Amino acid sequence: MSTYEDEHNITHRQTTPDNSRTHQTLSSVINSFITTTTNAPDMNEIAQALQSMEGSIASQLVETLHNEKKQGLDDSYLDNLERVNVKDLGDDDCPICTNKFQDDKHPLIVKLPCGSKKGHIFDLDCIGPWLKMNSTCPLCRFDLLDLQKQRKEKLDKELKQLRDEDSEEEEEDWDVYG
Amino acid sequence: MAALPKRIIKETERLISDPVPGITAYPDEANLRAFTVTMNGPDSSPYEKGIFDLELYLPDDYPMCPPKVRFLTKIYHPNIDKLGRICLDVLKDNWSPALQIRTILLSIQALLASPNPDDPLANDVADDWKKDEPKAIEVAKEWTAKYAKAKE
Repeated sequence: MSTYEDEHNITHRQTTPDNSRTHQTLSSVINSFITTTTNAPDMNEIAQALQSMEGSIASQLVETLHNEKKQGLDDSYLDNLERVNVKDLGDDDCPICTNKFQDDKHPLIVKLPCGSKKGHIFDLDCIGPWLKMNSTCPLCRFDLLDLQKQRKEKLDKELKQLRDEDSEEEEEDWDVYG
Repeated sequence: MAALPKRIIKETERLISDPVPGITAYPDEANLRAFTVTMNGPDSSPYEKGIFDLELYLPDDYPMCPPKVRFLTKIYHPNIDKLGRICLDVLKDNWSPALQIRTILLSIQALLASPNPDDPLANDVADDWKKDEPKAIEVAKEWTAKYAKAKE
């Protein structure tokens, strides 16, 4: 099969990588974007490459990249949200789609654990896309990811404590029988 | 064009049937996601008696992302730049899908009533504002009288 170069009657020019550069160029980062589909691109790498560019636009881009660390919540978090029975609700509407919960024939309603007294309640279909990109309650801006982290840390701490106690007991047991 | 979400239709209907005092917003006939907005300058602000034109656009992701809003009328304000772009937290990082067109327009009206030169978008205006506030307010009044006139 003839190559592109043969067909267009041009000589093939080997593109040799420029080894003189000490930092990654923007183009190489962008290339890695395109070629490595399995690995998520490292935002810091991009930021570093951009930093080597001059001018205020680059620094603005760097800033936005660093700020872009907004994290959302995963599907399992959404699946485990507290469900609310439509019969327990009055004439409320979903703050996102503004439709009444009662008007929905097959409502799937969830309550966020943001600590409000009455509970901030949404259609799962409405809150889902938001929480995948953001971790805050749309009504009170409470950060659910923070809460999840705190709970996990607390749980880890308790588990560690239990484990430590267990091992102490075991040692005592050995004393008795040893 | 994809069908207009029910929420946008409801918001539009309410904006017309029950408008926010001092604000009008009408969708363009050709594109129902694009709105032409007029806003009265708040009383006892340098923008008092001015009528400002704005454009508002609802992106495809709305309400998961904020509407894009811009002043069309020239305005002297530390948080609004030469191109009419507005520096307001709820239009950026602090957007929430529970906010609506009317709440956003109210926030913009509140921004006119209380400029915030410590979080500037128009740096030269903010500098003037911090250096000599009474003079800056005078300029804002002049611009309001000159540019923010009611259309015949």
